[in-house]
Amino acid sequence: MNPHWNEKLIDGRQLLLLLVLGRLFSMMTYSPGKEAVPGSVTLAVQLPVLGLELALLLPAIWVLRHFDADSLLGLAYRKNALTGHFCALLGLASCILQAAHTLTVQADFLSGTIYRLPSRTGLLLALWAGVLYAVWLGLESFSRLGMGVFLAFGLLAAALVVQSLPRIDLINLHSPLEGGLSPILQGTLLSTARCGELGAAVLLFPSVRRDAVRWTARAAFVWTGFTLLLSFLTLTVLGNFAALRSYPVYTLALSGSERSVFGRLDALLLLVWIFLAVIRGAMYLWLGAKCVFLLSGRSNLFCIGTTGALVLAVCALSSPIGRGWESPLLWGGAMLAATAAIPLLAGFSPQIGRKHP
Amino acid sequence: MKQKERTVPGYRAPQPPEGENIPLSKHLQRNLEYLRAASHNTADLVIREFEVSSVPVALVLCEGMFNLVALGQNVLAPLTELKLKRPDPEELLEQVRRSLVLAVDQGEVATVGEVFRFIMSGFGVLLVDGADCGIRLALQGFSFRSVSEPSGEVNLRGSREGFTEPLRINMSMIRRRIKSSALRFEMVTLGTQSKTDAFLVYLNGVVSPRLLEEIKQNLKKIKLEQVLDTGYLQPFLEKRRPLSFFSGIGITERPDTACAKISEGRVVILLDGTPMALVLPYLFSEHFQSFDDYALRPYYALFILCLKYFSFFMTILLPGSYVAIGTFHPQLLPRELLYNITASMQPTPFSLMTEAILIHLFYEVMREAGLRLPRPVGHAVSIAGGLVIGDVAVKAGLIGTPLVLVVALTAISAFVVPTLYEPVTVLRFLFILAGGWWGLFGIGLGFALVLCNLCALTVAHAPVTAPGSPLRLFSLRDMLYRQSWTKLGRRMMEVDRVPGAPGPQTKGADS
Repeated sequence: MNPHWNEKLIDGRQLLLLLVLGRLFSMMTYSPGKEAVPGSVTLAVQLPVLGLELALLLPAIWVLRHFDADSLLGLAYRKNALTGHFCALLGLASCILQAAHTLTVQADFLSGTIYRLPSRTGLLLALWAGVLYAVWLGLESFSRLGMGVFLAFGLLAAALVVQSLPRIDLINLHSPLEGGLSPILQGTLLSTARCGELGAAVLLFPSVRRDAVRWTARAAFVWTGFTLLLSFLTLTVLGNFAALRSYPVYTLALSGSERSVFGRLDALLLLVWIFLAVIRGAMYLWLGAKCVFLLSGRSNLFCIGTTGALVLAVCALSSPIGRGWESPLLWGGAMLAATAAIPLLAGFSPQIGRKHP
Repeated sequence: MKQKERTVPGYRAPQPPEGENIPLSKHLQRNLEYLRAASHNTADLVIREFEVSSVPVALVLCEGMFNLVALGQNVLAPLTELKLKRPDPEELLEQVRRSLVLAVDQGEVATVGEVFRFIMSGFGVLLVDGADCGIRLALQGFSFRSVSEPSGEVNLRGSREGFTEPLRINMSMIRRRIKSSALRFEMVTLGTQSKTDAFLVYLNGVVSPRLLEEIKQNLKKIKLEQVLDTGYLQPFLEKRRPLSFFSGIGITERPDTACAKISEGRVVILLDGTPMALVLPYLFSEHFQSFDDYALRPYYALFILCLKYFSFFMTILLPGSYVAIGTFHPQLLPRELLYNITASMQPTPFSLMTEAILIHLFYEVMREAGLRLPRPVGHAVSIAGGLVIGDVAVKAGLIGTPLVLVVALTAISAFVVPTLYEPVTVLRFLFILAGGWWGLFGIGLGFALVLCNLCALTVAHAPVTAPGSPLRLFSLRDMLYRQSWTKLGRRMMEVDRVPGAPGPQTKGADS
């Protein structure tokens, strides 16, 4: 089964699952960089971040409604080929960054935390090949897979809550205003930047059967709920330790494993995490391949192969970039920029010549 | 562009037998000579020549295929006693057509091919000198296995009947259960040489016309000389992409299961000579259902369903996970178990992955041998196998003791969902390799891709993972748990309208 780029392939519920799972992956791979803010701030800014995320969607929604279109890239091509190509390139670049980030972060986690022996490159290549196969199977396949993964994650989250309940210590909660307004603003910016799924939603709109906007908004509420829950747990259970550790959710699962009746939740979390990586990586790679199709009009194999090669190239470059690569302002910011720029370009660029097919 | 057939030495393309479309001649002797020549004087061709009111006739039969008593009482006696007012072929044919009831199924044949096809199905063909057609008379009397309990789908409750080899008996078993005029048997003949009869069975008005048309088109594409089992048809009915271990086509040998599927808008294909009927489309969740689920109390049916899902995942993942954890993540094991496993691995010369592959290979070899051997010998092989795996291999230091437990658990749990045995067996080996090379990452990635592949499968435009994904909560009443019949019976499932399938269509095969 190959992707049919211009077809309505998934329903709103599947869109929600893709977006939520993608966002959950970003949350799981949290790594405190130099711009990290205290956990209390992260917890406090989630509701403003939700508002900001919904606001970021408004230009896209307005443009689509105003021009009676269902695809921003399609609209850009309708206006003129140059805008179309530019928007597709922008979409492609941001999707490649997101996909590459997904693969490298997962490989880094596995090679740094779980394994000592297998090389990062080998893990990365295996993951890349798996994601490429999922993309080859089509958007429907990995979006259908999302249902089971979401259920598994939900059960795991419930088990984490039960496991963590006796260890919750509210003394770890501090006032978010302790450091003034600056951390609040920084936290809002960082949390919003982590949400590249907004851009994915905008690019996925044309592939959704109906009510894409409504399901995207619902997705934002769901991932905010999960973020609040897991941030609260990590903060109150792990305390200041959470701010220093990479992968705090995994640390949370690991920390209570030996005392828990559920046994080793960390192993189950690891398995679900791999599923999240496959789904997120495949979603962005599929979107990237769709952009390549719009740019080149070539076959599925060419589009997927080219995008896969570009993702691999960016993954290869990620090691020299080092810690800078982990900053959400780089990979997430690019996606948010695309989310904001594509609707504006598609909406306000002039109509030139014949409409592009 | 049509693909050119490649010539391979030692192989030939399937070809229909020659001269089958030749019409029957008015000369009886010429017809008989041609029949003898075309059949190369085969030993089982029976030709009995006699006269009816001085009109030369011949009865053509196939040895062992007809009922001798029915032949004598219903055909030969009335014909030999027949006195024609005007003894000529037309009068004789007219009498046979209008006045004499020689067989319940009686009609005319016009070509040599038809004569062969009918006599080889147990009919007798009456050829009359001076007439360029023959009369076929149903006299089937070949021996066959009687109706018995299906060995592969044993149930605690419900019918004990299973399909058997003759098509007509299977047909009657379905008809007895659905006494509706909407139930339709549509006959097709498959195989250029074997000319095997098959029936498409469906409920008119319930089945999707698109599904039916697609199946018919796919069956027309079959260019095989012999069609000896429903397995021959399966690849023609499945979509070629994506390649998958799983199938969207089900198999059943139970008439009650077939009837339940038919009532949900599915098409059942019965093939002459096999008790295995095909069910199209077949959703993945149906592998975990059995007829018992609908006869037992709902809470117990739910319990059994959970057991089946658990067994399925265990049989695929347990050996691979054991290898992965033992090799890469020993910290996940409780300390005491870890010590035991380490101690059992000390004297063995192989890695955990090699051990697991070896022992599972041993097991599959013994299972296969036990399956094909005569039953008493098969038991002996099983006992010897059990001893080899369970005792001697451990004592010889080839494998560790915990692995024996793992293989025993996986082997038993594989039979909980027997229809998935084939994919489960191969996947088990793949997961052992993935776990041995990459640890839990390999298991996770492999499992994600297997599920992704399963999610990509569609049959008759419906995703095989429906109604679980894409999700419809209402449909879970028959998939994730089993509602009581008081609620279940209010709405019948329509398989062409599961989530993810194309929208509603005009129902009815004739529409």
